[in-house]
Amino acid sequence: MTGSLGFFVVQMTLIAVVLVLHTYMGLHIIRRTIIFCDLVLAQQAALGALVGIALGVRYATGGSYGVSLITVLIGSVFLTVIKPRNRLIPREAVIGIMFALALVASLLLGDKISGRGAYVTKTLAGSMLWVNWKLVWITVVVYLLLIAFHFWFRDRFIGLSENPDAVKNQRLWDFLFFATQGIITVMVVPIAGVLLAYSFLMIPAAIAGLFSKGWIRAVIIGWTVGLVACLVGLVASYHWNLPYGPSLVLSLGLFFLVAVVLRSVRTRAA
Amino acid sequence: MVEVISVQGLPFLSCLVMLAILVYIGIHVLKREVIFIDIALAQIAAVGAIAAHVAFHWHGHSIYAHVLALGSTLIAAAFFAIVRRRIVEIPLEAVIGVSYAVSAAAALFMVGVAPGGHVHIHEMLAGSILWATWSDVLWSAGVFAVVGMCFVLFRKPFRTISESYESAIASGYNTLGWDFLFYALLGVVITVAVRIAGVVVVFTFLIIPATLSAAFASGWTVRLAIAWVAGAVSAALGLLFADRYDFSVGPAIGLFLGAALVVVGLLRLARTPKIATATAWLAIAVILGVWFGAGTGSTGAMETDVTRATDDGSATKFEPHTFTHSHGHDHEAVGIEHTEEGETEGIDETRLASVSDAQQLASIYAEATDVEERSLVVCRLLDVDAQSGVRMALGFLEGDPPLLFRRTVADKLEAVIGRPIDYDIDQPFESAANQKVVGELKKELGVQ
Repeated sequence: MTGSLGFFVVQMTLIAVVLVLHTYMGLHIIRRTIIFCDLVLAQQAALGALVGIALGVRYATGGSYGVSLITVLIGSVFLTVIKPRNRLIPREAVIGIMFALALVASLLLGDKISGRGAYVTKTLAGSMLWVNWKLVWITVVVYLLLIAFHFWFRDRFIGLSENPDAVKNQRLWDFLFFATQGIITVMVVPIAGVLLAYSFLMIPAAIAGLFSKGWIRAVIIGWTVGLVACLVGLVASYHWNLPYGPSLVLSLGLFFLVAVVLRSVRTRAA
Repeated sequence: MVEVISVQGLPFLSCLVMLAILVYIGIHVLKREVIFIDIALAQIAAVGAIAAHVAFHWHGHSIYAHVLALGSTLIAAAFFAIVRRRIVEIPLEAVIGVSYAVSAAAALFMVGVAPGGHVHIHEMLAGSILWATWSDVLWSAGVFAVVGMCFVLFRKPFRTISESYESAIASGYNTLGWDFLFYALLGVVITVAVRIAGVVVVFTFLIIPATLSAAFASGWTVRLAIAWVAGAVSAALGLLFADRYDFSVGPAIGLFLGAALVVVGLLRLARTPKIATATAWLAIAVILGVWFGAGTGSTGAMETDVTRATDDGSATKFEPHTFTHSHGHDHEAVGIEHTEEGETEGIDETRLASVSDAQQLASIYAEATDVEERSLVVCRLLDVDAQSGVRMALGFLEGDPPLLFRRTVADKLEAVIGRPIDYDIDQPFESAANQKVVGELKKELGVQ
């Protein structure tokens, strides 16, 4: 019992830390309508892992993380540089196409690597089962550094979302934004899987965005609701022995649905 | 050349049919900034199909499964229409993105709770356009024609809403109703198209030609014409390329659409005139087409294609066999898989079949470079000499190979021993339950 309780505490701690930065980044992503960029970076990380395998680097080792980090940073450069001037092409479309091409590259590369199915599944699914204290500490430290960095330069990053043309060195900050996202993707995807990582990023932020226009308030709302939803999902998953990641995502989704209904009722009343 | 047409003709025709409608919808999708809609709707339809399988054991291609898949997309269409109207705080794209994540989780959830739904996910992602039959083409063409008629009939409200939601409300349109119809029609098209071609092809068909055309023109008619040409040419190149170099067809088509966009984007960035850009791209396409085409006609394109089709087939058909059929059947499915996998690896089942010396097999095992080859050798040795085979099989399982190979070897062990051995392939070798099974097995066969 103490064993599973300890395990539970580890997972909730990790989720609590991860959610702070993810909610904040998610708010940016939603307010700028670049929803796909997370999937682009996650796919780039997976592509990196596959390239690593093709080069003989074992999956989920330090070297594999390194290759993923490189491909993710390359992806961040592309995300920064490619900005259509044509008003008929929304930025999200370009980002969506980059996602498709990264996926295409992974699939084509997978055609020529044996045992590919297993690796593609591995990069998609992830498992919190690997969560141990050492990994938690590394993740916590990296996240705290990134949070401090973003808090320090919050004016620049918020400026990117609210009034991008007023920001000096816009491209640099844009790159740093995507690079941050890339780093957290590389850190969290092998643990949580693409789907759960993406949900951490999008759902709490989407709920918060429904109820607050500010930044700090929105992060607090998103973090609180997200944490409660994850707790519910986690307890349900333990209690009824349900699949772990999907339970968390479904719980988050349920909270989102309730939030949407609440919001639309209040809009009608207003 | 005749062979190429006979093999690739139907898939290409199928691409053209899909392009006809997807390209048009793609322009709407870009204008509405709902890029995610295709992936989300495809995922939601898949959830319906999986639910049909898990809850009612309806087969994936039965009419009920189709109805349930369609029903779930209609619910999603209503949801998106309402959200667009009611929620102004966050963009619709964000809600669609969340819907995608939640429905993907729902799919994984159901598969996790009740195994057997795997096959749907695989089918949905990969698609199998090479298998397109006349009935697929005609059936989808019929559906798309009806949907296309709706788009022509209601083009005015659809276009007005796509151009500007606010001004559509101001001019008195019932945006809620029209949006529901729009997303419902989109849902129908995407459900049908994804079934034939898989998500990758459908997504790239939807977004890339429409984006490409925006680089040349802003009027609907001209954009449509450009997008259709670009889509058709890229599909042809993708099919020829995949055939010549033995890649999956769907991603190959996506690759050439992406390449077209990159070429055009770079040329336009360098301020090349539109006509020159288009000519340059077409010239490159023609050269590549001739290059790929020349290689495929002469060297038995038919055969490579058929083998690839069985490869896809065994990959998708393999799963349900292991879940639902008897062991004898498993054995067959595994055999097909191996012949195919082995062919590209150098060690194949036919070659191994001629080796019946345990020692020689052991040295082949030691030299084998990857896990697939090793699993083949293990299975062969189990046939030849049960005792040393079991030892090798346990050694193989000890390394916790990928799930597929664990299953292959565990099933083979059962077949050889002639009774179920409760080895849990979802658990690591070191787990207590598996250690117990391994211990019993060793004792029984006197294996150290």
